[in-house]
Amino acid sequence: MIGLAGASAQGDAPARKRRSASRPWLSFLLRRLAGFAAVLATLVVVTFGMVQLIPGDPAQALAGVNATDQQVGLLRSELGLDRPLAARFGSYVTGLLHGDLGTSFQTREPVADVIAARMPFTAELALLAIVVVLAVAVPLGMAVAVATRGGRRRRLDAAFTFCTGLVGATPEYVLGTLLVLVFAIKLGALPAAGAGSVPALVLPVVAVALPTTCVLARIVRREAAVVFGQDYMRVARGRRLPALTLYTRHALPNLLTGTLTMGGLMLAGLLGGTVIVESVFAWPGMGTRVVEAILNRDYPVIQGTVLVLGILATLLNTLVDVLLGLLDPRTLTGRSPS
Amino acid sequence: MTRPRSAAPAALAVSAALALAACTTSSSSGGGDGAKGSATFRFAATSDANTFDPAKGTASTDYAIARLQYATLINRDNGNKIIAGLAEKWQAAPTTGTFTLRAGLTCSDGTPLTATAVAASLKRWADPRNGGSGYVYAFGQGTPTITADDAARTVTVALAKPWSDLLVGLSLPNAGIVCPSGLKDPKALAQGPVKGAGTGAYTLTDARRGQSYTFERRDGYKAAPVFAGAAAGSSPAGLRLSIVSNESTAANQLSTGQLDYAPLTGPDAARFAKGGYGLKSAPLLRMFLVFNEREGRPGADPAVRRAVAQAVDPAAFNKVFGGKGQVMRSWSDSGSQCVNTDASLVPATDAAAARKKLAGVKIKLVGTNAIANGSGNAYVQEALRAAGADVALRNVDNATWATDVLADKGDWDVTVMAHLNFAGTLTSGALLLTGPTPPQGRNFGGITNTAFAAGIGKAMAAGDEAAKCAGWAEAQKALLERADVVPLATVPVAFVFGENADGAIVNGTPEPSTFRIKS
Repeated sequence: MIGLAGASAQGDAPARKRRSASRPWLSFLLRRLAGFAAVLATLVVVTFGMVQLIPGDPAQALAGVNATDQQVGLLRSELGLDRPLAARFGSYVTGLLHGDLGTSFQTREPVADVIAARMPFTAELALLAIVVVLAVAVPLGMAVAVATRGGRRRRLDAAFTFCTGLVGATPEYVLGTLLVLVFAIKLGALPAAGAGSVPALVLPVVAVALPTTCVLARIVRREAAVVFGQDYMRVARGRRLPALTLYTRHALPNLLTGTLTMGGLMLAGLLGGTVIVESVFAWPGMGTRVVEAILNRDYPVIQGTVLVLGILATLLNTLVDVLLGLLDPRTLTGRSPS
Repeated sequence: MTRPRSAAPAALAVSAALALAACTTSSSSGGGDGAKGSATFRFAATSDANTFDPAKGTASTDYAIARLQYATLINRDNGNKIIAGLAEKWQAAPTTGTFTLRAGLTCSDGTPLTATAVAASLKRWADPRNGGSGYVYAFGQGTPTITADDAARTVTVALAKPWSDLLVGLSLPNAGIVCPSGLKDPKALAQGPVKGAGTGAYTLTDARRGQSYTFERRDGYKAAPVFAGAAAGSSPAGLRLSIVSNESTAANQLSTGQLDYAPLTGPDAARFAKGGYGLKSAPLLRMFLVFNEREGRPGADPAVRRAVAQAVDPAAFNKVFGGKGQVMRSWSDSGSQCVNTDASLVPATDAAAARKKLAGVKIKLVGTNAIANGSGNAYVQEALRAAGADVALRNVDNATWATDVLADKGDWDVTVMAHLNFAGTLTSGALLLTGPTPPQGRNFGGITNTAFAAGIGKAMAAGDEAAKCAGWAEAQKALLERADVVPLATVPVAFVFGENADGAIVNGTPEPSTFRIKS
């Protein structure tokens, strides 16, 4: 029996090991699902409550200066604003459970249509910007870290710090305006504004990406300097590995933890809409639409967009955590990589 | 130390971005098909359309789109001259109007436009239950009786009470005639194009919310108004209206040839003073002070109102907005029919006299921050403070201002009224200054001025312009002498046309049907 038990125990060991190996992912997913449900419930309640706190009557705002009281009253009834708050919240939640985000007070479009029309523009800008950011900031930061390793090329280090600090601190509206002035008005090389063509993408993407690239490049440069000083890097250098192998296979993965986390947060922020850049480039994205909705007290659009953006941000953060888990499974259990 | 498993995440991000780029972009540059060398006239508006139903429009973009798609029975040219539209002739009296339609009129799908259809469209607009806008300007108080005679091609409007603004009201964009197919489905009409609903020169062929709207000139349109100041050049086969919320962006697009026309209210207009651009100007906002005259408020005292009028200098107020506006002597500008131009009716600026009455008076001033971030409100605050008043200013957004002031749900004593006055009439502003107070009416200041009301009554019952202006003179004198309002100045808008484009400004508004491409 003992032998059998021992054999059984020996046979179960790999299975237990497998289960154990899978547990961090299972635990991770369960934690994320619970968190997602909590975020969702909070968003639904908070967004609904939040819009009620904004001063100003939507019907009065939409009806305009010249509307009669009868017109305002009719509009209020049409919008359902004459119903008790609890009844409105009930309808809102019921609608959400049926996949209905409501109808815009201002334009009477389904909110889902509003988001479907605007989100591709915002997502396009955000994703292209983040691709540019990662494609430029990581190699740039690493290259500067390599070039200035051990206190070498102090002038390059100072120039890098100055330039990235300057551009990173430049407000987007200043940067956007300068880009338009140079590339659209003076050189006539690119459209000044508008969406719907590939050339029209260039300036808004650059305006969004440039400050973020500079900030991230500084982070990468600093992280890289720390990584280069680690023992395993000294060992790897001692083995006289080619530089490309040394930096891409040994240094880069350890830099990506912080970089991806930052990138995920930046992308989540960008998906909320870059109001200033959208305004400067007449880009029909989410940001300007949400501002317009707030100004017009368009409750359903505010609620719907905040909810969708909140869900997107949560999913994006989860995706980043998954990527980090793939890169370094220790992050799944909350242990920090040493 | 770990190795990256794959480059899939990066590839996924790039692919997603490129796929989205493919979804939202086209091969055109978006800048090369304008007035110069093609038939599409491109113009900009700062805000998106709220509705495509002409009867329900409340903002300038709604009106511009309505003008293009839906013709009115008559039109109003500069100088308040009424000219033909769908109607070739008309007769109007204070309580009635008869309109004879042109022969051979059609809807945008080619079906005949009958007098019955026109009457149905007007009845729907005039019915308060349908939530239309601006019908009061045409029909006054009460619901009119509208009848049609298809054989005679006439539509007759019988008003419930005398209203001498009938013709003016029927020329407004809200009065645009909608064909039966549009009336059958008002919900669809509000959302976008409805086949066969149009009666105007253009049809909406592509609507991209928040981005652009494309219109095509329609064959068979026979009701083109002939404005005296019509621009030279050829009528464009198509129009594209882009939504550009930032004026500087619109100015950039004008200067790079991406746009043919844009309205500019801010300093960007100065960029187009040279270089072959067409620069025209008109009042956008009529600014004046209105008091809360309810019991217990400082504005209930005529002496306080007069002192406020003496403390504020309209010329200095005008300078706050660049000095390009017009100092007003009434609640509307000099372009409005019968408007007062007599400066003696308005209390002259006299800081010393104002100080005697205002010292220590607590005033709650409220105004919208949508106009130059509320700098006009700040000027009024400082002027009243200089006169010794203790002024608390609330610069709020339009929605809050409308709720607090127009609906009288807020705590306010004086407001800086920024009146758009799309109709360009004295009536438009006067309707906010007389009658029942909110929630029953629109007299948000709680003004009780019987002489003013009597003057309006005379103007509205007048059978000719002289009598009408006599009534308005009486009304304005009564209101200004009691300092129920303090006229300030207009805030102008510059209408900038590109080098190869032009258009007429009619009653302070660019008339889209007159947009032209220069050869």
